[in-house]
Amino acid sequence: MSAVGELTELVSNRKKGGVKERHPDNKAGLAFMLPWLLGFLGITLIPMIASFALAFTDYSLLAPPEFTGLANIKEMIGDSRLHNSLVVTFIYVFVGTPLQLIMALLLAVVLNQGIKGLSFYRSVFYLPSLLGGSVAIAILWRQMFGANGLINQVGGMLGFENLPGWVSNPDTALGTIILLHVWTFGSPMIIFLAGLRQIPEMYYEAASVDGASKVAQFFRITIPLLTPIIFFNVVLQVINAFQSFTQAFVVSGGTGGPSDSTMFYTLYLYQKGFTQFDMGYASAMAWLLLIIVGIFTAINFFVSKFWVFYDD
Amino acid sequence: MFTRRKALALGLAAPGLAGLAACGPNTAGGSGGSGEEGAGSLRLAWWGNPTRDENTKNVAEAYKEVEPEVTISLEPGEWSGYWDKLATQTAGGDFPDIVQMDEKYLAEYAERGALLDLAEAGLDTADFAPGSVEVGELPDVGLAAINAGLNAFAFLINPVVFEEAGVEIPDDSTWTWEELLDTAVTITEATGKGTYGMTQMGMIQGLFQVYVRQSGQDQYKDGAAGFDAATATAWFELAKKIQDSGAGPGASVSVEDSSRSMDQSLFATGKVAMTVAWSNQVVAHDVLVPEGVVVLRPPSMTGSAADVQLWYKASMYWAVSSQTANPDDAVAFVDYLVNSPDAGKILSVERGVPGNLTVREAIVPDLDEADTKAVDYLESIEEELGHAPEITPQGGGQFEDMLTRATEEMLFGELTPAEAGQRLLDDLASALG
Repeated sequence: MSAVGELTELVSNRKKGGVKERHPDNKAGLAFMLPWLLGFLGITLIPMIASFALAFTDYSLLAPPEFTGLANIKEMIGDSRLHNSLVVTFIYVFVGTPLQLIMALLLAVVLNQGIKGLSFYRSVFYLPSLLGGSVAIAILWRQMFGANGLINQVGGMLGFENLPGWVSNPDTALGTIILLHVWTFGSPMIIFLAGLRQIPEMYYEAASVDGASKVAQFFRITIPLLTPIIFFNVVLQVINAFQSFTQAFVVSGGTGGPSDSTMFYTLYLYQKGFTQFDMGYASAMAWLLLIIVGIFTAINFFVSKFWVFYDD
Repeated sequence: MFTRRKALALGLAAPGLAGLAACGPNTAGGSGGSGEEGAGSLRLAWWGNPTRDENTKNVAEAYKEVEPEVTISLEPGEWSGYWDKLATQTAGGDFPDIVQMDEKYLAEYAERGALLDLAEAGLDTADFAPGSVEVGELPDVGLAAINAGLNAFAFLINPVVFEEAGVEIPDDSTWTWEELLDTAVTITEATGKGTYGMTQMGMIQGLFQVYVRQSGQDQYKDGAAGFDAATATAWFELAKKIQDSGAGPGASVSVEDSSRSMDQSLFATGKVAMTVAWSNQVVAHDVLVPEGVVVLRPPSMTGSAADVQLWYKASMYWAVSSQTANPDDAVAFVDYLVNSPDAGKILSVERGVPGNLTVREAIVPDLDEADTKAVDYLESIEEELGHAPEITPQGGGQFEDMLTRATEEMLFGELTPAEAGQRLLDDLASALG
């Protein structure tokens, strides 16, 4: 009964002019926020605190956690597979993200030229982003880049013999996943398109009157005016890329293979937690990832002072 | 007057009240309802394939006639996601009452107190073949799980490919590892491009175990690695020879093949003459290969079937959660699964050949050709079996991954066989802690 009681009291208080004058709407506000608040507490804040605590324990999921102090951190320092997973993830982030953004920007510029059927092309290019993180596309990718996949069949027709199985060769497996990542350039592209629309047409008109070429216009007008948008996309995509999981999980069949060449950090974290029953270590890894992403985001913000141009 | 505000207040309050009520002490349902007559509901989880899912559903249905009071809710799964799900459920205190368990993870769960001692709980095992109950026993736990069937490691032959190549199927009572390689090389050379004599077997844990046992060692001894670096190195040299001699495919084709589903594999599609599997997988392979498969013993080092050192492995187990609300009902159902000929007729040999001899006797006459192949194979090797291996210790569940990783790095030329052997030992030592 208490909930109803409180709410009716609240309602009548407001009618009478109320007792609690300063924040009369607090309770109603809280009531409206309750679903979100419960979600935030239950599936974000409390698990985060729990995971921080678990990072200092040995927790097998089956027995209660045992406090082990800094043992997990010491183990992480000496764990060569973890180091390898960091290398793989860094390559993915620092090769994949720039390529993806360049691709997104170029196509956004092309689409911004006012071609016929713009919305059709926009949807077509955006589609991979909607599907890109999905299991289905990753499976498709594995089929396409397999030893007998579409890519090699086309290659065979063009006269390239003895092509490798791209996803099952340690030299090329990571490259195929990066390619999959680049292909999902749709969401930064849409943001770039919106940004391009904000640039006043008169700048270009003035520039062409002065005889500036299209290329010069792109580098002297488009890019500088777009830097806040580029910055936004860089921050967002770097954070996303660090957390990539699905593609590597599916393409490698959950193993991170061949020979750990697609062992992403998150994939290793998952294996530690759920297949090796080492949830304490996995929690410690999750916090290291948070710190790494935090550092790179901070660096991004710091460096942005030197290249991002706000038009005000 | 019924204002908008009041309506809103009621709308908010109603679900809240319902939520509060659900938490009350007089709630019906909840976790399993420990009724007085033992009327309960049991959750049964297993991994499998469509045939097994069907069998298991039928057996749960049939149990209603034996024990109408008990309802069994079914939680089928796939091998790949099964252990992740089980680990998560365990963490959440939501472990199913009865689970299908694998030898790899038995110690992992049992030694951390997640499984009931079935012997103490009164499970009848009197009819089981000698040695088949012990495979579920752990020193500190007791009978942690009862086998749902037995199997053994085997070579599978696709006779069509042998015929194409004009090669005789070898005599498995005398063949050696060299003969295996020679036969495979001949087949690869006699057939077209893309067809091979054998699959790359370097990453197959079961065959690795056969190989180290033939060297007088085993995968585990006293809870640690039971093999030395020299034996592991010899194994990786064999894997390398399969690749270099052309007996099997190259590294990237092999890696891809090992991650394909059974029906897409090189063997099932007639691109490979010989592969390996556990005997309970004979049936599934037999369906996929047009003329059916031939089952052979693995080769030996001495050319004598007496030295193959096979063993009967529990193909899988039934285990009961130590946290179950209805231990009596759960054990009674497991008892039905393993001891009742009626259940045996429904389950057949899909989970391996029943360890219970009475059940086995009851079902064997009705088996079809493929099932019979598996049973015949098990019976034919009975005289040659080596000692039973140690149960995989805690942390050993990852062994196959370690073996796969070491083999792959070796096949791609990143490691020498000796380095791969050392790597395997190091990885295993650190996993066993």
